[in-house]
Amino acid sequence: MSAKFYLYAIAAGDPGTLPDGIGHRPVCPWVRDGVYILVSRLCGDPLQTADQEDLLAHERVVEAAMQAVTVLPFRFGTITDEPALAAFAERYRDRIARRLGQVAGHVEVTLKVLDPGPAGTPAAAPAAAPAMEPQPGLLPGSAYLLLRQAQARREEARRERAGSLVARLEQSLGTWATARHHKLAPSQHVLAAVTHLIPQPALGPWVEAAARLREQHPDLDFLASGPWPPYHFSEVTGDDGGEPEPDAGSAGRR
Amino acid sequence: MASDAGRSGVDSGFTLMELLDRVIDKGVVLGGDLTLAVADIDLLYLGVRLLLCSVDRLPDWSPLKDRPAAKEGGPVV
Amino acid sequence: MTEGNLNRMLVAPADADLAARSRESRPALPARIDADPSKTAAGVARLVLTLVELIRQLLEREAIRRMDRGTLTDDEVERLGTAFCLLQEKIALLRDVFGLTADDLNIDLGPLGKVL
Repeated sequence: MSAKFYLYAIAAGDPGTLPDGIGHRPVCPWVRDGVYILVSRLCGDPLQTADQEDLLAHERVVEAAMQAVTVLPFRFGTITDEPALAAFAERYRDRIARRLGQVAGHVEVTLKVLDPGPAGTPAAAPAAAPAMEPQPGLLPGSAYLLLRQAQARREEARRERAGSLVARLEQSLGTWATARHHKLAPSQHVLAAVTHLIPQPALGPWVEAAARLREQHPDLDFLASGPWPPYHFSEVTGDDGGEPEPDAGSAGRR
Repeated sequence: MASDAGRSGVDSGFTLMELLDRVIDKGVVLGGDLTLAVADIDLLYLGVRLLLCSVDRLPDWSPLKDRPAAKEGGPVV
Repeated sequence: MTEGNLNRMLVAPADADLAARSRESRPALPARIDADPSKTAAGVARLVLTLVELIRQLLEREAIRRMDRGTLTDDEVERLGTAFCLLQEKIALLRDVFGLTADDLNIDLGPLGKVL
């Protein structure tokens, strides 16, 4: 049984000195055929649970490395052993190189549009209006299904609203994006989330555009965050991770 | 990275939520990897608690204290 | 080191309460269930109930699609609705037994998207 590694990120080279990682463990590059992976060795320690400090340690390591070299961050909590890591590095070497090339000099930013909630939804669902009120005298089973039908229609209307909103957001924010990721109505409180990969110098203009959008839509609440490591644009194993070139588009819900 | 300045703990709370959306849901996925068992769920609750605490203790000058639609918390870059 | 060193807000939302719920999704289903025996029961229950709830919702959606197409009689709608309703109640009952919330069953299946 070989030692386990906790994985932080794939790096384009040796980032130099890094802060301590998960559970104050040292972080070092594991190198194979030019693929650098930043890891902490877990010596016989299963590390089954983690806390907020571990989460922040993960991010701290990724961001520190990002200062020095281009990185592709791993999902938090990724643990593997050396043979699996070697197989991964060998199998995806080309894709990793392409991804690193795509995100070099770029950062990730997200604009979320928060949903004002129930107060805002009725206006959004005029199409559902006829079915919304279960008629009195209906049998309970029918009333239940009609209610669910109305909910499904409202949800569909909400997704459509999110879709047209995202199209409008893209008109102003999309200028700088070299890759994008959309989520339509991902949760009850988030109407849409637009994540962009932008060149680092575009950060200022992007934020200004986001602030302007907010002024143009006083009825909506905006949350913009960044600059982040390219978490949304780091996929190297999946189908949509293989082709970094064009706008990978909305990999959210299909 | 250009953005760095002393700001209120509230922003950190939002930041933590945003971070959760990334590091737990996104990033390089290794086929057949292990993930920490209960960490994600605990972290989510932790994040929410932290944020709720910090909203309670908002300093008076915080733009989030009164919440007109006026613009605040603008660019920090 | 605290989270204070990490700050990435560019445009802060006006509604702090809303922002507190701004997570996009539930965390992905853990790849491994915690070995702690007291938690294992709830973990397995969560997995099983999630699958049952997933199937119930898929069937329910199909029923709603057929309603939309008008291919169900009133009697069929009533019988289906009653069945879904009863099943939902049973799932809620079991959920409570294991101390789970409705949200616990609405998990994110990663690349497959969210259950609901």
